[in-house]
Amino acid sequence: MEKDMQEKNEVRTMPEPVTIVPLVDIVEGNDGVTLTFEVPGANSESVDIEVLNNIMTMSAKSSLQRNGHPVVFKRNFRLSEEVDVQKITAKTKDGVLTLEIPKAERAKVHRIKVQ
Amino acid sequence: MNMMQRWNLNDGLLPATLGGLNELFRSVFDATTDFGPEWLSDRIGALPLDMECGEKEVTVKIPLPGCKAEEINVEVVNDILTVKAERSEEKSEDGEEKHYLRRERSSMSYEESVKLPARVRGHEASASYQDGILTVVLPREEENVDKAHVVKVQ
Repeated sequence: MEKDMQEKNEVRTMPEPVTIVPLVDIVEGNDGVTLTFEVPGANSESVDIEVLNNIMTMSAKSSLQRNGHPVVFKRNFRLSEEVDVQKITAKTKDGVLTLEIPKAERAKVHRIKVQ
Repeated sequence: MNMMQRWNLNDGLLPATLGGLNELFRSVFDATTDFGPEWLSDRIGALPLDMECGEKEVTVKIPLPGCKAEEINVEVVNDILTVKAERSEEKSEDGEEKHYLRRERSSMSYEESVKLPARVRGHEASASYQDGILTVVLPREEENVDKAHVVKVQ
C-alpha cells in the first residue's frame, strides 16, 4: 500500500510533456505521397505511427526539453480511401522522419496502350 | 448551383474520378481537421536552442534536423558562440521538380550567435551531432573572483 502511494507520488512529480506540432513537407509523386517531418532528438525507437479510422497519428518523443518538460512531437492527418495503409513505411535519420504513403493500386494512373 | 460548383472544381473538363485525383490528395492533407488550437499556439515547428550553465561547463543544445556533421560550423570567440549550418536540398530521384502539397520546412541556411553566460575555455570545447541535435560542451574557466583579498591595516 505504502509502495503504491510512493509510486503514485513519483508519477505525479514527473513533468508533463510539452506537445509540439512538427514542421512537415508533403511531396506528391506518381506512386504516393512523401511526408518529411522535423523531429530533432527523436529516433526510430521513439517514433510511433498509428492509423485508426483513416486518421494517421505520428508521435515522436524527443531527447530535448523545454523549460524542464520533455518534448513530444505530434501531428494528425486524415487519409483518403485512396491510400494503401498497409504499405506505409517510416524511417528516421538525423532528426528527420520520412513517411512514404503509397497510393492504392486503384488510385494510380494506369496507362492503357491502344493497339 | 450545386452542379455548377462541382463542375468548376474539375474545370468542367474531366469527371472527378479522372481529373480529381491530385485534388483529392491535396484535400486529404490540407483538410486536416484537428490543428485548431495548436496552430494558434507557439508550439509549432522549430525549437529554440537550449543552454545550461553548470558548475564546470556550459552545455548548448541546438536542434538542426536533417544536417550532416560536416555541414556544421562551430566557433567560439571569447564568450560568443557562433553556429553556422547549411542543409543541401535533397533532390528527387529522377531530378524532376518536386510537387509540394505542403511546404513548411525551410531550405536551410542557419546562423546564430549567442553570448555565453560564463567565461569558457574555447580551445577545449567539444561538439557532437546526434538525432538532429548539435550539442556543444564548453568547459568553464576557473574564476578567482570568489576569493577574498585580505588587506592588512597597518
